[in-house]
This record gives sequence, C-alpha cells and structure tokens, in this order.
Amino acid sequence: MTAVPSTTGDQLEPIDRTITQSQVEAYAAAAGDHNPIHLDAEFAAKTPFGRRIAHGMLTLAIVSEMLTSAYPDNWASGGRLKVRFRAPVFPGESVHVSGEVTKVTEKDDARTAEIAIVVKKDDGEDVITGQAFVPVD
Amino acid sequence: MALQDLAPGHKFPPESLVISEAEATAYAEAVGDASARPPGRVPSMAVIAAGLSRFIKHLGLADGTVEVVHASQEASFSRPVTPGEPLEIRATLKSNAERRGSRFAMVEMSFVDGSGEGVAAASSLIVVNAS
Repeated sequence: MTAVPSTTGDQLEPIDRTITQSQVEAYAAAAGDHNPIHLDAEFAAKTPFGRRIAHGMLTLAIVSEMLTSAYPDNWASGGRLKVRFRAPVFPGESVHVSGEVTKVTEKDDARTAEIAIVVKKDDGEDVITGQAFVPVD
Repeated sequence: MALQDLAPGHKFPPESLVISEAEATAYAEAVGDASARPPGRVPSMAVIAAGLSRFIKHLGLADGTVEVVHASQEASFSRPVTPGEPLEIRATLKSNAERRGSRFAMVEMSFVDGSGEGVAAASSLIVVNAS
C-alpha cells in the first residue's frame, strides 16, 4: 500500500487521461450539465474557443479522483480545494493531473497537508492550478 | 429569473438532491476510472457538480442563448455522501457584476443532510457572455 502523502515534497500519484467527446457527452448526462458549449459543435464554433470544450468540472473530477486515491478517508471528510480554470480542454487532448505537498501545518494537534494542484496539457499549458488541503494523521 | 436581475445576497429556493447508485456509477464512469470510486460512496465532486448544474439550469444559462464559462471553484467536504441519501442544496448569489461586457457571478452552495448537518460546500465563479 502506498504511503499517504503527508510530508513536504511528497508527490501524489499523478493521473494522465485523454478527454474524448464521448466522455464529455457521458459526463453531461451524468452531471446534468448540458451547456451547449460542451455539446453543440455549431454553437461552440461561434464562441471564442471555436469548438466544443470539456466541462471544467470534468477535469476537476479527475483532480478529486487523485485526491481520493491519495487520501481515501480524509479527502471526503475534511478536504477542501480552491482552484482556477486557466484554459479549456478540447476533446482529444490529454491532461496530466498532479499534486505535491508543499506544506504541512499543525493546529490544535491536527495536521493538514497543503497540496499544490496542477493540471497541464501535453504542451505544458496550465489547465487548472490551485491548492487542496487535507487532514493527515 | 434572469441572472442580471438578481442582486448579490439573493437566496435561491432550496432544492432537494438525491444521487442514486446508478447516477454515482455513471458519473464515475464518465470521469474515466470507476474503479477509483470508494464503494458505497458518491464521488465527492459529483455532489458539487450536481449543484452547479442545477444553478446553471435554474437561471436558463444552458439554453444556448449565452456562453457560460467556469472560472474558479472552491469546494469542501465534511463527510462522504452515500448513494440514495437525500440532501438539500442551499444556494446564495454572493456577487453579480458586469465588467467589459461579461457578467461575473459567484454562487455559494451548501449541501445539508436530513438532520441539517452540512456535508459539503462550494463556491463557483462563472462568467456569462452574450453569444
């Protein structure tokens, strides 16, 4: 079993995933988000993006998946995050989801890992950046 | 109810939310790796996603007349949610302003269980542009 990342410098197990249009459509149905910018090619062509984009919450779900794998109990019970969506992901693109413990704070005998969250495309462009905070034992 | 007509502080009517086992499974499969989902739990972010989708739909922002972009997200989780568990979404419009032709709206949502305890909370910033 992999040790829980709880020391400054610890890396979370990264996730690499290619986002497909069929995945976007499945996500829209599952999450109830039918915004045409994700689903309607004709509509999306008229936006500044020029084509359909994946839901930001779809990409963020992969971040949450990484945090759930790293902290099976504590992410869902006391975890929090704060992120910015910096660039859209176009169907067909791949993302690299990573996290690194940058600080561990201690207050009232409770330790919290502060994790830098970065989601990048293959070309290095940032998609999501931010921080997560998870209680650690 | 149009977003531009709502003042900061506006409270939306509470909405009930139940994510079934089938819906939790569909969500996990759509995200890409259902095997990573802890058994007997709704994926944490599925709760937030469901709330945000309700908000966007509620305001008619998903009808193809405007372009909606998600700019930032905060989320916190107090405990796991189990499939079929009844929750209530309580949402408040924290800010709503137009700048350079785009509308920036921040909505805060809390998700409470049947005993009134919060299980998750979120804050979403969306940007709406006329298409």
